[in-house]
Amino acid sequence: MIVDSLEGEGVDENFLRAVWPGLVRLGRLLTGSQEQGEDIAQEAVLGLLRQESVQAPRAYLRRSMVNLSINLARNSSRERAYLAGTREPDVEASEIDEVWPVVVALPARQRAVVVLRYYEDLSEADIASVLGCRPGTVKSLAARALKQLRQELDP
Amino acid sequence: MTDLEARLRASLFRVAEDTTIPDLDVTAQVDSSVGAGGHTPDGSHRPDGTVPVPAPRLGRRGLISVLAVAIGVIAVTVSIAVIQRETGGSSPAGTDHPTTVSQHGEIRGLLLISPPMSAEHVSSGSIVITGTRVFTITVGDSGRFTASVPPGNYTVIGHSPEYGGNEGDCITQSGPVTVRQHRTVSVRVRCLEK
Repeated sequence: MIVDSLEGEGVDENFLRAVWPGLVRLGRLLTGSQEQGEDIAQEAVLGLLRQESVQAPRAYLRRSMVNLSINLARNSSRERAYLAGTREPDVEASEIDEVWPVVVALPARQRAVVVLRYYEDLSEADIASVLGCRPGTVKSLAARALKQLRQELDP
Repeated sequence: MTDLEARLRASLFRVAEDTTIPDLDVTAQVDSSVGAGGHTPDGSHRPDGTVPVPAPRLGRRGLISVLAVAIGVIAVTVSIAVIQRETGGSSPAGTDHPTTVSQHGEIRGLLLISPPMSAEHVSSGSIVITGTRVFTITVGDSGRFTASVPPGNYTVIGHSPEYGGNEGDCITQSGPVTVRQHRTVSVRVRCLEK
């Protein structure tokens, strides 16, 4: 997890090595795919290095990861429409447990809220800050995600 | 926390544990951002000659840091040369190099077969990278490829024996890619089966 946001933390090789595993895990959870998780983790790191100055690099990375995952889902959605078919988003999903495939199938913003709330342990206010929306929207997205999970897992 | 929420939380942590952590090529990425002389990641020179984020670290370490960066540059240059040999052809044969290898950027990617009704999977084949020059790369069973190329805009097209017997064009969804000096661009080359 990349939970702590240390103001003024320096960005150097040690910092990047320390946060890298957490970034890849978060990427996998946000995208539902090992490969895409690696991709957005790398993109987020490169984005951080492009910045002239970042006050809270961990928070910056988390926000980048979420935005990249939502953009990726949007592009994948267009691709699926083009193909006029559906595809398994994560081939290993069903091998984890019965919950993960349902999480993977959630819309990207709902999945992001679920991951930030139950994996990163962020408050609704913090999630709202990451997503750039109001806390009420976060509550609504979380409720819809849980409803979907309940329907799929406890019919 | 309800039972459903507890199951959800447990599942997320299980997935996190199950995630494979690849190596981070910090040397290449940090090197591109903290190059001596105050160059920014995009290669431009800043008026005050400093790089705000990493500069304090460099300042404290002094000469040792400068030496470490120099060693990093050499390591990256050697790595790129090795990758070029392994990928079999990102260097154009028989042409002059307008840029040195150390000025190159990198295109890294995955060749994928995307059937409409089943999961996409990696494929062997070949990649043709077309810009000011043409680079051809052989892709192994892992589907992964890496090419060191001069900065510029490139069209990346793949071919797979599984996709029209190497006749069909596999494409990047985002179109042409822009490579900058010392930067890595990730692409996914998909063979979109209808």
